[in-house]
Amino acid sequence: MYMRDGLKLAAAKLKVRPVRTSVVIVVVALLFTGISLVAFVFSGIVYSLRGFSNEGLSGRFIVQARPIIDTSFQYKDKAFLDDMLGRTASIVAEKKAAAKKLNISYDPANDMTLPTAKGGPGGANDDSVNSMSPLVQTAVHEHYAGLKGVQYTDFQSLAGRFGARQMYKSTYFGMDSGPPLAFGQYFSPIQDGKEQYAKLGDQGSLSTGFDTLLSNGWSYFDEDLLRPFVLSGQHLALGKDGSIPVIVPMSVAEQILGREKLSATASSAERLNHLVRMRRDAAGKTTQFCYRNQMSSDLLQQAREQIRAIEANRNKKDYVAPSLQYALPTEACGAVTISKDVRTAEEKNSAENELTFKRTYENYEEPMQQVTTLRIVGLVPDMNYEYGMSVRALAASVLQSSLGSGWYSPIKTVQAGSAASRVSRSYDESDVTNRAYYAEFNSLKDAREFIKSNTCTVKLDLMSSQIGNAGRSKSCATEGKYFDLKPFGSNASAIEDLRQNTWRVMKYVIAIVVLLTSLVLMGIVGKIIADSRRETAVFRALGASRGNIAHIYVAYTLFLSIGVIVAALSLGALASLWLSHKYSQDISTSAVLAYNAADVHKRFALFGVEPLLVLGIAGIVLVASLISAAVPLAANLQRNPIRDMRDEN
Amino acid sequence: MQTADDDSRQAYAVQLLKACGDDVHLAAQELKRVEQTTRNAARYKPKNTNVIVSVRDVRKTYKMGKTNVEALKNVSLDIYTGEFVAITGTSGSGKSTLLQLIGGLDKPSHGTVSVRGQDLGKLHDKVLAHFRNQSIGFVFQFFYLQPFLRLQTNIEVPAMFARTKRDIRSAKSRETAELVGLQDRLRHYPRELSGGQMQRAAIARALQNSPGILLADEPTGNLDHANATAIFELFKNIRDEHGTTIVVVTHDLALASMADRVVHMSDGGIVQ
Repeated sequence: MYMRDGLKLAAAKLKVRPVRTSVVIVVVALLFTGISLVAFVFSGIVYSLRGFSNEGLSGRFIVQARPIIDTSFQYKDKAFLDDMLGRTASIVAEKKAAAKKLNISYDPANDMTLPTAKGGPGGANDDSVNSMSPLVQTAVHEHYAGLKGVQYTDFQSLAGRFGARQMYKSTYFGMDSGPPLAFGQYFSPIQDGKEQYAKLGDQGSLSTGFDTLLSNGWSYFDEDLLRPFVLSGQHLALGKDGSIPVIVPMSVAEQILGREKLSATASSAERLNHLVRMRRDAAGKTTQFCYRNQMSSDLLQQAREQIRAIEANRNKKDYVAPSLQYALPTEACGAVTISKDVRTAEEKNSAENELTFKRTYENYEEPMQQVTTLRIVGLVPDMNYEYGMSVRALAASVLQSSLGSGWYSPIKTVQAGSAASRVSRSYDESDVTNRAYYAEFNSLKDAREFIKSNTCTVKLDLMSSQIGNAGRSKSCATEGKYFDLKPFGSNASAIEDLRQNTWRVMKYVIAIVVLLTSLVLMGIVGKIIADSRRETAVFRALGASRGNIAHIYVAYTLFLSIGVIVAALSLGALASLWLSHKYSQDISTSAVLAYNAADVHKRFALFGVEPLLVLGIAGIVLVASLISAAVPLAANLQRNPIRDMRDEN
Repeated sequence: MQTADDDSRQAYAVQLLKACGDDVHLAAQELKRVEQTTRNAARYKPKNTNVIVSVRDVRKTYKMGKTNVEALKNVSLDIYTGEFVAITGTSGSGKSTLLQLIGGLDKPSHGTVSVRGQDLGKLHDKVLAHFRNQSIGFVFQFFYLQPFLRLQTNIEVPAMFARTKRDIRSAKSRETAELVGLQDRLRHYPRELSGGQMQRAAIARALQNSPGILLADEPTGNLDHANATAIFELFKNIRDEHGTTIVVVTHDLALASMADRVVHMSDGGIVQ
């Protein structure tokens, strides 16, 4: 029997019971509609992700490495403590002699610059390393600089072996606990021409506005990592006015520009308009901060406390005002001046001697303050910009290409020896504790392989002495692992995981649907074949072989399958298009914000056609149909056609 | 002494009486007519003495529910090439079973059924299908035309199973349609035809592969007298023009008398 004849007979058979045939097709198609819906949505997401892959860092496979370092070794290392105790002893002896010579008082217990101090973990008399001591800090940095495996050159060598095509580095200055810079330095915002002072009596914390603005720290990155986030018309070089280029999160830019943060219920159009306006208005916008070194900060603090005390005691007769009185700066970031000096000659001499003592033994610096201008050259999406379980929030959590939630400037602006470098004087090449390295790979596979091969298996547990900071550092070094590694800049890895997990789940879903469909089809096709026994018998009487009969029913099942495929794909496509229509605008906006897309009108669709996936679904339907038809067909072919004719008659 | 033939005749008489509503007179008349037909058959000398179908000592037993039914009991029969044979008998007498055995649709439980000297019981299923397709034309009481195929395609179905090329089978289907007088109806669907036309279409279909034997099982069961007579005339015509051997199962003795020979069956046996 020719194939076309088999198809002709099967097609004729398909018309015999149109209602039943339609019901069969719709019922089975509904089972596959879910799969085809997921396939279309999935394809749409994949295509959309590709469309956004040139935004931010989303299309790049970058791994961030943070050195695994025992940052508390100085408190546990006996030899280090002994060394510092020895130095303390000699410094104290030297200082005592100098103080005596200068006729000033000196109490080592109040000297915060000494390498050691009393009051360690063992009690009030326990000696402990003083981490605020410049000498200790230098010694610690020297220790870090000598560590093997964690240096940038070590990382470059390691990543190079795994095929990294480019390496970068960044340095982070924590701003979330205390002053951002070296101890005693301050960095205060100037708003409306006024310097915002820290709260009195609470030197460790910054003013409220300042906290909010810089609470997530300031980092210096290699330019290549910053460039994708630079706004149109902006550049990463120091400004002619000495302004430091900085890339900030959207929320920070909102504060600097005095904009209200959009409400969580803002529409997509409002959010896009907001983004467009923010980009336009933030580009090149400058904001000023006042940098004060420790002496300047101390003087300012002293002046403010003095003024408060004088004011509080103004009407007290027995109150003796200080002989040396300070006045607050008359301009933003100005120097503290002396408003009244009625000191005796002896007092003045003593003060001069104190100053000489500090200059000689305590790395004394003259008070220095400087207005620092930061220029917004780029915006990064806020991390976790969206919350909750809305489609918008889910999209934002998955789609993200950002540097983080801090402030970012090019590393060369700090290294340039410019005014900016003074602000960031604590920038120290030897300090690897706040350093991060980055390796860029050609593919996600390479990046993953790098992470997999070099991730330390010892997990950090701060409650455990064995695998606390120090123990982990040691254990990881034994494994030859020196870095904590994670994907950086985009969620390409997370998206890939999502894709794989979706596929993993889909495989089970498909298996269940195929099983269900096969059972349903088996029943339905079995019934159809059973109902056609007389017809089969007639065909056999007319000379059809079993093969001819099988041919007709296989063709018939194929027609049913095609109907199911067309119906399932159509229903799935319609549902996908509906979803896309309903949520695309919201997700597109979230994607534009999350990816910091240059083109704010870029669409993120939930509908796409991946030919292989569609063919796969069609293949599954065909296979399921044929399998389900095979059993009843085989049973039917074994029957005696005459008996069927006899039964029918 | 009571012989097996006597037993068979007696059993047939009892059946006949029952069929005639216990009207002894009517039954006697019917019996007389059957015996006359049988005597005629005995005197019948076939024009062609070549045996095309040979049935020898055939028994056929099949299960119906839990009971075994003996449909045929030691049946022997020769049918000659170009002969028009009518098989009559009451319902359940085994005439359709005999027809199906001759057509290779079923195999005997015992004995042999040979067509052109070929023992059908020994043929493999695939060969048997080919035999049915090429050597046998079947006509059924209920026509069994495909409702959603045009008449011409319906007629061509056996040729499809034979992998006959489209133009050849198309020419043949027009020829057979003309033979049965349906040449103007080839584009019609079965539902657009009358009962008689549908049966003629079924006959055209049976003739599509030019089989040597045409087997018809109660072909006039659903037709009025005029159409039934026309169908039998058509059979005679086909036999006369094409030399096709025709075996028709019918319970209509008047129609059966149009055949060259009438074979009466009763209770699984041939009544001579």
